[in-house]
Amino acid sequence: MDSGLKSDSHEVERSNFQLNKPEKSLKRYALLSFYVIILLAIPVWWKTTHYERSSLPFEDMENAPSTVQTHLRFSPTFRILDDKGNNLTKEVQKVLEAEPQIYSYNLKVLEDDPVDYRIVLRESTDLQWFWDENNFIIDTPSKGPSELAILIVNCLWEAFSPQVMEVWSKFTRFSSTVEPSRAETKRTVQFSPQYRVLLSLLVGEGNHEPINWDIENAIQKYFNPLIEQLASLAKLNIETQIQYFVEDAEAYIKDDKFCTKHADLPNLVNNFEKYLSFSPHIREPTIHFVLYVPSPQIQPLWLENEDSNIIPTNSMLLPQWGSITTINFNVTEKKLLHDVDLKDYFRVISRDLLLLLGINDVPVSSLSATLADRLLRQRIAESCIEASDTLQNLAKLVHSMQSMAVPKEIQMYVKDTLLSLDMAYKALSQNNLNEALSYSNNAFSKSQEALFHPSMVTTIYFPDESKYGIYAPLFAPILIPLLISFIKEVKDMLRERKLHRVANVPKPN
Amino acid sequence: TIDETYDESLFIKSFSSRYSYVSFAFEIGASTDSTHSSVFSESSFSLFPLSIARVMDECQVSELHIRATRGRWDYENWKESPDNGFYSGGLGFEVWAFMANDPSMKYWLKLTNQLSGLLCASLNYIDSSNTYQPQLSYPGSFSFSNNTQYFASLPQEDVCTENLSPLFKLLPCKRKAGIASLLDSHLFFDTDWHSFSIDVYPSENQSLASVKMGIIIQAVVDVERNGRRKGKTTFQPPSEYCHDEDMDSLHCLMSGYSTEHHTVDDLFHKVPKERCLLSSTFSDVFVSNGDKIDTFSLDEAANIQIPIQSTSDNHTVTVDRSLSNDGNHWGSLSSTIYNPSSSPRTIVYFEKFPWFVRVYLHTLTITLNGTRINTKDFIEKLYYQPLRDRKAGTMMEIQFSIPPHTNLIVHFNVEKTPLRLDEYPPDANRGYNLPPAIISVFDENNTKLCSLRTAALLMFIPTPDFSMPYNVIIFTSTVIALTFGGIFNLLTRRFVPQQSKFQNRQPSMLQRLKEKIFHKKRG
Repeated sequence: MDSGLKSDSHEVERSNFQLNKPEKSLKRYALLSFYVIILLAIPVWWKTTHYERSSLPFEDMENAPSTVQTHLRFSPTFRILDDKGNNLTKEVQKVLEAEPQIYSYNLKVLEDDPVDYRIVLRESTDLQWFWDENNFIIDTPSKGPSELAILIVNCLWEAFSPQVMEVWSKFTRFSSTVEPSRAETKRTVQFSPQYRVLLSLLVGEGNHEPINWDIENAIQKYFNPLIEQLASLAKLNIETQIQYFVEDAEAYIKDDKFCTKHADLPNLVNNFEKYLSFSPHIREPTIHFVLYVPSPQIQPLWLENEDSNIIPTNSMLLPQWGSITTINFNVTEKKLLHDVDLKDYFRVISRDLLLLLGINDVPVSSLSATLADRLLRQRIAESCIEASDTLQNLAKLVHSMQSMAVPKEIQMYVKDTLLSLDMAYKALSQNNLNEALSYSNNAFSKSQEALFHPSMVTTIYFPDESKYGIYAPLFAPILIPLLISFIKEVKDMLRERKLHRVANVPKPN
Repeated sequence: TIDETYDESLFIKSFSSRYSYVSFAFEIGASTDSTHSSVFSESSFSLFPLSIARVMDECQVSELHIRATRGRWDYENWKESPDNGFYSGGLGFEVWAFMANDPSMKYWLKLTNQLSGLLCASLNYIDSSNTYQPQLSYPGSFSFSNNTQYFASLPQEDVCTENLSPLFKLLPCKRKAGIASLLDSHLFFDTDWHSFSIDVYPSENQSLASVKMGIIIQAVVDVERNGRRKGKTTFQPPSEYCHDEDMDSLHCLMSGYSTEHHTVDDLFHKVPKERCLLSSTFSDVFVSNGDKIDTFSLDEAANIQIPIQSTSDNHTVTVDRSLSNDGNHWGSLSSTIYNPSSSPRTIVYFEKFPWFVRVYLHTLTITLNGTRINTKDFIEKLYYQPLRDRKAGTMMEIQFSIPPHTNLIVHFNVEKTPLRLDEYPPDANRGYNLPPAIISVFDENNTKLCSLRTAALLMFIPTPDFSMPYNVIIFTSTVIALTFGGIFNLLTRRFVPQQSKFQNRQPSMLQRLKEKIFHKKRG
């Protein structure tokens, strides 16, 4: 009986080991079907958990900053008046060609019109240059043509150096080094094709009489000419308001005058800011100009600078914000600020507006043709650089956040930006500043729209823990048996093949 | 150029020896010379708030109304709501506006977003799902043809100090002079019922060439409670907790207040500053004295005595709404409207529900003095906007006429829908505030007599345990894994009988142990 049992178990083992052929293939098909189902499920799973990530022209986006540096070239053209035989012109051209190309500016001297500016040489004992509308006038003692040519080029570079520096400083945003903390570079308001200029009359709380101002006439007389000049650069919407019962500035008495310390000026701004409204448009930055009438109790009030000296204009400029001007005005005598009373104020805010828009070195309150050109160039440079920077940042952002959805619109905006930038460079090479400005403005606004698209804010975010928490209980018990059986099956197959080979090996004779 | 005017007035009326009603009204008017343009597109303002004008212009709004209220108007004791209820809203915030050209709600949403910034209120929660277009309840001051009207209410929104401060910024005199200097936010928000409203509307005809902005701040002041706080920063325990035996003078300070008259000091704890010179009126304070109204200038305010009077019983219509919950799934709403007068009144009953409350219109029944009547014959007009899941809520406007001395009950069933997990409001177990129903009462000549708000109701929505999704995921995963294992093994393994093997084996340790034990027992 014992032997019988033994042989029986042996039989079982053998039959287990040697499944009959059809059964074995059935088992393999069953196993295969599991893998097929899993493989088929992968696209479904992909589809249901997928989010749209349209492709972006990453290479162009990342290269945008370097493209700006090479393609942003302004080429103001000149013609020397009364240059017979164009000898001097040729001489100057030679000098300019020999000169190394300085950032973004190629000065050109041409023999024929049309040109942007004319050079007028005048004989004088002292050397000096100045602008008169589109004429660049050089007073110079008489000299030979080659000497004169060098002198002209030097004068030109001297005249253009502030704007070259301005554009140059704008490029520093690309470099990793810390931006130079020059006050001028921080003063300029964020570029926008459209601004809201809010003129506010703030009346201190000690004034109980209703004060009014003849603002509409004053704007008409003293402000509109400048606004019209600036129209090609940016659209400025002027709004005015009066706020009564505003908290007064901190004041102390110094030499029969009331003064506000320099350290107290931030409080003043804080106080005022809550009465100033902001634009409902996101893309319309507000420039505030505040005219502050202090309470009669603290009049005359003067603002002090850092050195505790009275500021003669009684006005302070806040970088990227606007300016606050104090006006000492006796309320008991009259209740209306006539347009004549506001004349000085408008001179101050005209200067402030130009400072805020980016004219840093010349304190002027009106705009000449050359200054307008200069602002135009600055704006073009700024918006091109800003747009390229935005593109680069967008590329970085999309790269760094792999789980962020990128809708088709963003792709469209990016392409539009790149195209507009190209068009702007092309317009620049044809020396068409206005066209270049409109293209660069478009590039700027499109790039902003791409970066600040609402869909970019809501990213699809699943923390890894949550993913594992959800998938592990499902996948682990399923995948492990599948994997083990797969390995077993492969092993089995290999062994079978070996057996087969052994069986088929012809015995050596 | 534009012409601007400013007026302000304070109205005080006592309800009982304990309660007084105060209402601060401010009105700024503006009109332009050019009849064709709108005031809002002007750029120079001196009194009219520029921020409001910009928003109105930007969103092309021709009329705007905002109501913010907290507390419940006690119809029982305080009787008729002030100004026929035209300036007081239901609980939370209500906004409605007439938009010049906005069928797609684009400007409306922009408007509410900007107002939310302007008033520091969460009006940005207004979206298409809680915006309604009532047809009967809110005819504008002047009918603007082709204007779209939108209405939204946020009953869960609290009215708080931060909403009041931006309101004062809109006023020319802020709170530095004039009647506004009387208002103390702490006391104001401690009152039993308080409300503020902003209305911007054309003042003469359809054109926006002359507009008005009215701001009304109202409150019902509990003089006794107010007095407890006088001069102290902390609250004293209310008198209910003080018994005669433990009259601890430190512990139970009750405020003394005259039962003959209230003073301005009782109500506001303040003396007004000088009057706002920008205002064109000189007599700023109005005090109700029986049938007549006494006027005072603000300088005399400190000496004003507000005579105590009992409010007369002159209800136009009373209304009460209640919700009954039938488990977590079903509920029903019934509103009782009573007309005490001897003339019939036309009523527009405006009810709105969030989308997850399904209203079954076929269950609508109307009971008149206890007898059910045929709804079809009784209802004169009915506007019904069915809900769309996650897009729009239900809106119902029923117009009917209620006979004199009649009690009427409107009743219908609602079904509550479970939400998706991320759709539950924060603190979901507290329940969801149903916005108050609005009842507009008209007389025979179709002039609006008053507008009433029912109390907001707190409805429980079926709320899951919020750890549920993970539990469900783990549970289903386990079930799938288990079934998978079984099926997988069945399909890919071969099962071989092994009895013969067992018999051959040596008895295991356990078996031997068992055997031993049983052996011993037997032995």
